[in-house]
Amino acid sequence: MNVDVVVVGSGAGALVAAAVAAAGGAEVVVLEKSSRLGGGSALSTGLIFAPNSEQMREAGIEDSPADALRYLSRLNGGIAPTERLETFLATQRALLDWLAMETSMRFRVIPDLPDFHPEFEGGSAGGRHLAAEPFDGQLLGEWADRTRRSQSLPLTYYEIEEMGGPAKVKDWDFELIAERIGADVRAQGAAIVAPLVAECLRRGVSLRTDAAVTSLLTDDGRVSGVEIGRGDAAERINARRAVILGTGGFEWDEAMNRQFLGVPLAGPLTVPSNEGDGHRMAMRRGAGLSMMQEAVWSPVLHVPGEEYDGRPYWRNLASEKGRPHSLMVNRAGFRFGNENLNYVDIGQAFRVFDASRHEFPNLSAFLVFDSAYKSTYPVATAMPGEGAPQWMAEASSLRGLAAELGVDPSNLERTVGRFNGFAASGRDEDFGRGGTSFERYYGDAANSGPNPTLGALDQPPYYAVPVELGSFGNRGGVTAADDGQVLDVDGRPIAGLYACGNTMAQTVLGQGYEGGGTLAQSTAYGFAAGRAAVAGRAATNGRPASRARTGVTRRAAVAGRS
Amino acid sequence: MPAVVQSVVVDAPLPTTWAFVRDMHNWAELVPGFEGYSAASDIDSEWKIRGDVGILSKLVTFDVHVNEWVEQSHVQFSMVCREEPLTADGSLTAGRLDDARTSLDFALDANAGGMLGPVVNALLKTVLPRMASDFASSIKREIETPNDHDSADRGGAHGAT
Repeated sequence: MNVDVVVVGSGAGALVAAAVAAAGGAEVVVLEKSSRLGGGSALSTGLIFAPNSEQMREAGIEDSPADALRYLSRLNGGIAPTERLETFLATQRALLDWLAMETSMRFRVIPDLPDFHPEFEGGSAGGRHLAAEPFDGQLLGEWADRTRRSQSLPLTYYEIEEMGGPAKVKDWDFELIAERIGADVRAQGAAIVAPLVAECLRRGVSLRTDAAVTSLLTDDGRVSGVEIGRGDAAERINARRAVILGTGGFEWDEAMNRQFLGVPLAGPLTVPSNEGDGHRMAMRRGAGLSMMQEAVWSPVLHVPGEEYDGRPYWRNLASEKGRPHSLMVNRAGFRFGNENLNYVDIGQAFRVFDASRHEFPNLSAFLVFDSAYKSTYPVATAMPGEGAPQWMAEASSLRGLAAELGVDPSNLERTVGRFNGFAASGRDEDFGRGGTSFERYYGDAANSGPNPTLGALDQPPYYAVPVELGSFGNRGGVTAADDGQVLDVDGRPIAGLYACGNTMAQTVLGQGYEGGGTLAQSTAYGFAAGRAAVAGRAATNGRPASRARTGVTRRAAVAGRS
Repeated sequence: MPAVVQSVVVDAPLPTTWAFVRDMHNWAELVPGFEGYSAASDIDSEWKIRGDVGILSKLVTFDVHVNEWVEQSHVQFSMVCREEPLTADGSLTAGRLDDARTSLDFALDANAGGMLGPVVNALLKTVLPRMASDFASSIKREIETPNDHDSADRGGAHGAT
C-alpha cells in the first residue's frame, strides 16, 4: 500500500494532523493499534489551553499575546527558548482559525476557570480554557462505536459552571445527562475526538483500527513507511511524504516507567494501548528525548472491580481533594502539601523521596473526610447521601479510622486538630490552601467558613479512601522542531518523521503545567506536522536543522530545549 | 425504568427445557459478564457479574431471591446489587408450543436509584436489549446442544414451587 502520509495513532493531535494533511491534498491513512479511535484524548477533560483566543474576545474576556507569552514562559521555566513558545502560540492561533473555517468544530470558553497559577505574571482569572461543544456521536455512522466515548458524564465544563460548578454536583442536570447518554451526545474529550474523526472521514482519510505499527521503514536514511504486525502477517505501508507518530505516552508500559520516571506510577488515566510504541520506534531511528521523567501527575483512586479495556480503571481525584472538610495525609498521618494545588503540582509532592529513610513517604496517601463532606460531595462513584461503599474506610472516631488505615492515630488526630484551627481562621499556615482563585474554584463557595477550601473535620463518622500517584499521560517524548519534525540526538531532523501528542516531549509547557496543556500542545503540533508533511519538506535528509527553518538551535535541541 | 423482554423458541420439548431452567446456576452462567455463582439455599443465591457501565466494566455482586417457582411454567426472581443502588425484577417463562418446541420468554425490569439513578438507567437502556438478546440466544443454544445439564453436578437444585 502506498500513501502520502501515514499517521500512527488516533488521539486529537494525530487526527488533526491527518485532517490537515488531507485538506492539503495528501492521501492519508490513520493506523490505530486498539479497536477504537481517539486514544487518551477521548478520555480526557477535553480542555484546550488557548490564551488570547477569539473565543475569549467574543466572551468579552481580556487577554493579550504579551500576557500569554509571559505566563507560558513562567510555566516553562527555561526548558524551551522564548522563540519556541512564540511559535507555539502562533501555531495554535492558526490551528483554531483553521478549525473554525474548515471544520464544524466549535469551542467555547469556560469563563470562570482560572489558570493553574493565576498569581503568576501574565496569569488569568478565567477564560483561557476552551471546551468543544457537545457532538452527536451518531453522525459518525459505522464509526460511532469504533470511536471512544468519554468515561465522564456528557457535560461540557462551561455547562458545569452554569450548573453551579464542580462542587455542586447535586445541582447538575442529571435528566439532561441521561438524555444525552441515550442519544449518544458526546462531551469533553470525546467531543474533541468525534468531530475530528468526522472531519477525517469527510476528507477521505483512510481510518484503520487494530493496526499496530511495529516498525518504521527507511529508504536511504529517510523514514519511508511503516510495518504493521510481525513475521508472515506483517504488512508494509509506504509513505511518499511523511510518517507522523501520535501514539500517546508510555504510561502503560511498566518497563519504560521504571526506566524513566524515577517513581512508581500506580494509576495511568489514559488508554492501556499507550505503551510507548512511537517512542521506541523513534528511538531506534536515533531520536533525541526530553522530559522523560515527567508526567501529568494526578492523585488517583481505583474503585475495586472497575476496568477499562481489561485493565484496572483509575479515577482522578482532582476535584475531590480540594473540598472543605477534607485533607490528605501520608502513611505517617501528616499532610504533605496543599491539597488544592492543581493535580500536577500536588502530584509532585507524592514524588518526594526521603533520602534518610530511603523511601517515598507520600506513596500511598489517604483522603480523609468527615460526614459533612460525605453528605455533600461525591467521591468517585460514591454519591452524597448514600452509604459508604466497601472501598471507603469508615469509623466513628479519628483514632478508629487511623487504626483501620494503618496510620499513627496520634499523628492523625494532631493533624486534623491543627487543620481544624486553620479552617476556623481561614488560613492554612502550613501550605496556604485556598490562596489563589484557582484553588478556591475547586472549593465550595457555600462553605460556611472564611475560606471556601477549608472546613473542619469534626462531624463523625470519619471516612478515608486510598490515594495513589497517577498520570493523565507521561510528558516525556521525542524532541521535535517547530513543525513537528523529529530531531535526532544531535539535533538534526530525521527525514520523513514527525511527531505530535505525547509521543513528543511537552517542552512547551516545560517545568510547569496548565490544564488543557496536553491537548493544546498535541493539537498544535499535529497541525504543524500535517501542514509540513504536505509542504514538500518531508524529503529533508539528515541535514542539521537550521534555526531559520525550525526555530531552534542544534544545541537547544540536544539539551531538550527543542 | 429500563425494561426488556426477549423471546426465543427453543427446539426442545418443554420437559427438556425446564430441566435446564430449573437449576438457576445453569442460566446464571449465561448472563453476559457472568463471573461467579454461589447458592445459599434453594431460593437465594449470589451472582457476580461484570457489567458494562458506560465505557467501563465493573464487577458487581447481586443477591438473587426467587419469589416464585412454578414447575414447567415460570420462575420470578428479584435482584439487589450490593455495590450500587440498583435493583431488578426478572422472570423466565416457558410454554409448550408442540412436542418438539418450547417458547421461552425472559423479562427484566431494572431500576437504579440515588443521585446517579437517571444516568445509570439511561446507560442500562442502551445495554439491556443486547444483553437480553445474547442471554436468550445462549439459553437456546445451551438447551439445544446435547450437554449434560444434570443439576446434581453443580451441587444444587431447584424444583420446589
